[in-house]
Amino acid sequence: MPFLNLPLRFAMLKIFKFLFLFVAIALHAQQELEVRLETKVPLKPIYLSRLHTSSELSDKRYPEELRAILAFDLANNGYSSIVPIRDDAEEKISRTDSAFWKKERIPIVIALEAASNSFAATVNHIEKSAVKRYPAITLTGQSHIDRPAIHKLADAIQKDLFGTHGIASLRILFSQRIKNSDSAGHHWVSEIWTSDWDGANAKRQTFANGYCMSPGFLPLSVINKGYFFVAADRGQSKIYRGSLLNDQTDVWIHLRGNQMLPTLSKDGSKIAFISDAAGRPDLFIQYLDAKGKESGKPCQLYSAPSATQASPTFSPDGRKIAFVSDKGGSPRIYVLEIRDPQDTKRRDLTLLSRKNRENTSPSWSPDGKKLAYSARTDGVRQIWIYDFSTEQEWQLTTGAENKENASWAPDSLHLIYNTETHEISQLYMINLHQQEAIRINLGFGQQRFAAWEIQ
Amino acid sequence: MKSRILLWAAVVILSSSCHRNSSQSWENVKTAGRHMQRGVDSLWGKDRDSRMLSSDAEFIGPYDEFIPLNDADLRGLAKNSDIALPQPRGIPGMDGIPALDQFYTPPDAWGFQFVHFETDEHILREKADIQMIQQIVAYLKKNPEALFLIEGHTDERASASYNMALGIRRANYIRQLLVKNGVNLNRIYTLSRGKEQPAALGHTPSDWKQNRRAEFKVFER
Repeated sequence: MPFLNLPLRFAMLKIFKFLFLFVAIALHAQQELEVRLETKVPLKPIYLSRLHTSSELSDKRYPEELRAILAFDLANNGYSSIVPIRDDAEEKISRTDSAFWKKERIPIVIALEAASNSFAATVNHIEKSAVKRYPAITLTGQSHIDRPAIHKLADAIQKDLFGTHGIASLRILFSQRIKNSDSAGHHWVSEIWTSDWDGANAKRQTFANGYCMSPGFLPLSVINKGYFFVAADRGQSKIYRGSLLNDQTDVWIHLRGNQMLPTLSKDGSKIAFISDAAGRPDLFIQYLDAKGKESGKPCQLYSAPSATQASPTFSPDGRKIAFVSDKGGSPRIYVLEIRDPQDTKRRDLTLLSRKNRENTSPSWSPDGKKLAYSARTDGVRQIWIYDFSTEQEWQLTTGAENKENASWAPDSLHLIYNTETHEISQLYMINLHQQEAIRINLGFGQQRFAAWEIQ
Repeated sequence: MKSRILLWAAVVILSSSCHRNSSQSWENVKTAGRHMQRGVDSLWGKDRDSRMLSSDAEFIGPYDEFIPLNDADLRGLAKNSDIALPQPRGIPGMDGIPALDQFYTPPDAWGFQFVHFETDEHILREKADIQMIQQIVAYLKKNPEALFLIEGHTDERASASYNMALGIRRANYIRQLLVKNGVNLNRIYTLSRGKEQPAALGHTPSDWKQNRRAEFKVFER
């Protein structure tokens, strides 16, 4: 550049140096923001045969529906995948041609038979040269009886093939928000519902015509088919409990002020919640006796001036609680060791979520190894997983919709969460092995705050 | 030349840090106004509601329903601007306490307007909102039997669960203002609606601002 004088050349060199440094720093920062996704676990292919029916069965629609349910369960259990049906494969089913299945690299074949009132499955484990015929299910024609029976069959097959407890036969609880048809009340009402894990057999549980949310199942030791939830039908938010077997509910935790966002320890011996009994949204804990009744007074577990606490979740051993606090500015997730009720000194918190700054709705996995939470990522709330063994956080979900309220299934593999974008809220299920979200179709309204039945 | 630039930079920084915006000036005016009001009230013997108390227990009554934390920054009333004020005893709708759905929205003639908050905040910043609190205080002092309900609301942007907690934070802050101004704390109930009952159904910054609010209801025995 002969036309430039020396000082100008020197200045341009400086600018180039600065730009080079800036680009290098930007690239480095971008590398740091990259999120490591867990490697997907390979799934065992299963060939699920066509429905072999007896001649007396004229209408195959209902048994075909049941076959589809079994296929859904096996395709979403996190361990197996369903191979598409092929005519040449169907011919090999009855002859159990092991060489054919080995050549096709299909290690498991399930043959299905249906009659007018029965549905049966025979599993052929090609690798182990083992065959098991499961007891035929007697069909009633009623969805609320037959569908759960198919889910139980899927769980039994999973247990035999993979040695893990399936969750297909577990129910889910959730809240459904709809516009209030009664002009006298609030614009929106929310009730508690249950359904199968695939969204079928949905049943309304509460009839408060008010605002019910944040439900959870009670352990069998406390109440058979029991559940709890938060309702504001008398005005202030209180924690109620009831039974799925009847419509009766009563106030569970008796404390002044509002109580909300409850979580129950795995053994049912304590419940944690957020309450303004002392004038701030503080973390409280209430110990419970073997029948689930309040034992002693609730304890104020954590409070901080000018801070908001939210969404507690117990570690499976019940010795720690993770919860949200904005005491450091933005909402982040902290862990607190639970103290003795007589020890009224506030304990220090351990900051858990370091990668993201706007974190909410944590859920501790039943095996204690992971914590799922919702974090704002590039402007959208996504589900993240904190792994306690590696102390790493990684992003599980993607997509444009906000996602929150992740809840672990008892297998510590499946999660259910809800999307929340404007007036649309839907439930989705995902498992860590497959990492593909599946929408749980529940029809109208906004479905949120889902929780799994306790195994 | 270099020292001159540094000097100018220092002047600019100092002048900008000393600049008071209208919000700060208003805060100073409010503080001075409160002191003057207290002085005038004392002259007329109207200082009963703000007498000096000797202990927490005298102010809020003993904690008999739960085991509280006992940390200095939580219990030191004199030192703390964010005072924790326990809720009234009992469950509304039970034990002779009216259910909160029996509380009603004050008639328009009373002029009770919603007060509004900034994003993720629980304190009031607008002059009109502070004046509204004073208006409510005046009403509650004039009607000592009336009960009062504060509903905290949020906009739609944060998660539903966090917003429930933020709503209760906002409602309790307003309650704190009323108590600081001499209203009996056992007359004031709080409730959070989170983002569940929006006033504006749109999704613009203007809608969000309308939804970050506290609403009021009353019950006159």
